[in-house]
Amino acid sequence: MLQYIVKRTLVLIPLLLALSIVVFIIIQLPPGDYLTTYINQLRSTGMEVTEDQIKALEARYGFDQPMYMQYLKWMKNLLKGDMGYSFVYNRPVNALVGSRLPATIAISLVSTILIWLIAFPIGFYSATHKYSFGDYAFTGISFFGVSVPEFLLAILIMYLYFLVTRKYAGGLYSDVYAGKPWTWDKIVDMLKHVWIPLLVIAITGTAGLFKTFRANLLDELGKPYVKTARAKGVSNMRLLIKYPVRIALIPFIATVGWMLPGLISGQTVLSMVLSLPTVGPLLITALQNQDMYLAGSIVFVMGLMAMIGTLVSDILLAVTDPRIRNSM
Amino acid sequence: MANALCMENAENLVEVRDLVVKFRTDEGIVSAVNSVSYDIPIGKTMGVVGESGCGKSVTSNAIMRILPENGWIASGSILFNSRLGVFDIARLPDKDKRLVQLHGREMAMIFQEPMTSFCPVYTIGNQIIEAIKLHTDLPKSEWRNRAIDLLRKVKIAKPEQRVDEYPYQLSGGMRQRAMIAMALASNPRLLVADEPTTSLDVTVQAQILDLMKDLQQEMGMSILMINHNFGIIAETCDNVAVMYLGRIVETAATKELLENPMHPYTQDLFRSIPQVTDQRGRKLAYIEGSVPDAYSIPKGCAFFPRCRKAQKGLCDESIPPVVDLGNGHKVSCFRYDQ
Repeated sequence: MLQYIVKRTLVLIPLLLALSIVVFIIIQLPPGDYLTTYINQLRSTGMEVTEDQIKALEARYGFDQPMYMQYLKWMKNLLKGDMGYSFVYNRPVNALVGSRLPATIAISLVSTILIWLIAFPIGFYSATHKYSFGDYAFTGISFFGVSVPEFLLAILIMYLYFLVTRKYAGGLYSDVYAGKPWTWDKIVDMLKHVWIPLLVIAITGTAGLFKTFRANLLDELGKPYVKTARAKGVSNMRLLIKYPVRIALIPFIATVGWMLPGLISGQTVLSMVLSLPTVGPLLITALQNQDMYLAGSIVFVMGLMAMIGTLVSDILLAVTDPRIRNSM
Repeated sequence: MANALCMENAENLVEVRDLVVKFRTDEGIVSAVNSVSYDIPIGKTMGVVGESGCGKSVTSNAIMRILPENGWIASGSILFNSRLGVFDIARLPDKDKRLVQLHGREMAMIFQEPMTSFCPVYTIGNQIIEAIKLHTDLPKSEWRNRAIDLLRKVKIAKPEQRVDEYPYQLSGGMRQRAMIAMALASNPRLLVADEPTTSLDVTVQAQILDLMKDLQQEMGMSILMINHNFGIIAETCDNVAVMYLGRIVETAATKELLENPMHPYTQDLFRSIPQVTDQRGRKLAYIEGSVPDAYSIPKGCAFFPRCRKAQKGLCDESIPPVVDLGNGHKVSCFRYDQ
């Protein structure tokens, strides 16, 4: 087991190297770079930009060096934990991302826990009460949750909220608290805003999870080992928890892998609609402006999270499922 | 309630009387088992034989009270002479505590699919110990040793090692042995074996059947053997009931039935068993037609459309009564003596 974990972790090193190269290439792929965007901006405002000025700018941003040098410089700084400088915002990437990360992770984490707390119990109820009224009701609602896009739901809720209270509910807190230190009042104000994204994610996220868990559990309930346990005289609830539920949960452990990058990016579209200060919209802006260090760093961190997430879920799977553990 | 009931015959462990089991399906309500009656004597083996879909497994599931959710016992009784007194299993409510007590402690079951009858994520030992914990008063420190003893009893080699292994690490035959070990954890009075050797190869089949016989002699339990294979039934059972489409058509002591089958269906079944002594090129005997599905059971005798002796106006009009030929030989046919 320990050997497996070490081996599995060491594999990360070449993977990370490959990831950084791929990210760098992708960032460079679109025609032009930040400078062309910048010069175009200057020209459109009527400013004269001479060849000399362009040369100077290139030298300042390091664009005059060959591609591999730029990559090595980026990597060197990355290893030191410095993700570079954002051209658009004129601030270090670390500070930019850092200011948005806590809210992003908090929203994602709370909504994930919320989803699990709702989806698993009702999935359990639905599967054990197949074709009952409650099962039909939950399944009906979940169709709604799966099919309505979350941004639409967000707009709808904001609109209804505005109709009733005549207040704007977007953002993470009211404008008066922007840039202010965290006080009790600010927290209360935030709670008044944050329920909308949480509600939206809870409805849409729960629906999918509920349906998957119900289907998994129904599959397991039909397995012979459930009959064996019943014939053995295990009481019903104990039986369900120990056997089929345990096995029906295994696929969800595998999803931890792609949950981690989601924690960082936040719900991008939803964040834009609700103007939440999460990392997702930041990435979109960076990509639009070819702000290479900002975009590259965010994509790289998300890739890193995906790898760590997969590592964690692989280890968890090995712990929970002996068939996987022993085939290693 | 328990004390008011009394077995018809004190030598019987189980008396099934006029059992009717129904299922709710998309096409409507189906009777899978119709007024089935048989006895399981104490310390003896009762066999139920028939084609797939004839209701033999449903009967055993009804006795174990592990019918699927869409099935229920519509009428009839299943008297069980337990250590706690006589119960009518058919009448116990689903949530009755005594039901959990009967399961495992008084009656245990082994199944057709040893490959999937153990839960894949727990060790064999864990699952056997669960039965020990539920049904015996042994102190916790003894559980593991008892599990190893049980595995040794069913002749699994290196039980100390096997007890910590997972189901997928064991072969099919070994898993079925482990299933038997788990069933024996509490010295049950009845072992229900639902096609216990069907998915095993022939050599392993013989070993498992021998093992069951030995254990029965040692522990004095009764066995209900459900099987479609007449050879296995003949080898292991003291009495046999032949089922066709949810009804028992003939019951007798095994020897009597083999020598003297009275129902046309039983006779045809025997004729269609291939013999090693058969001449080369002889066409295998078979029964005309195929089993009607449970939604269109013929009026009258269910076997009527395929029967050689059928008589129009008689067999297709009413259900033949059970005729007692003496010595426990019963047949349900109008024209058995023709």
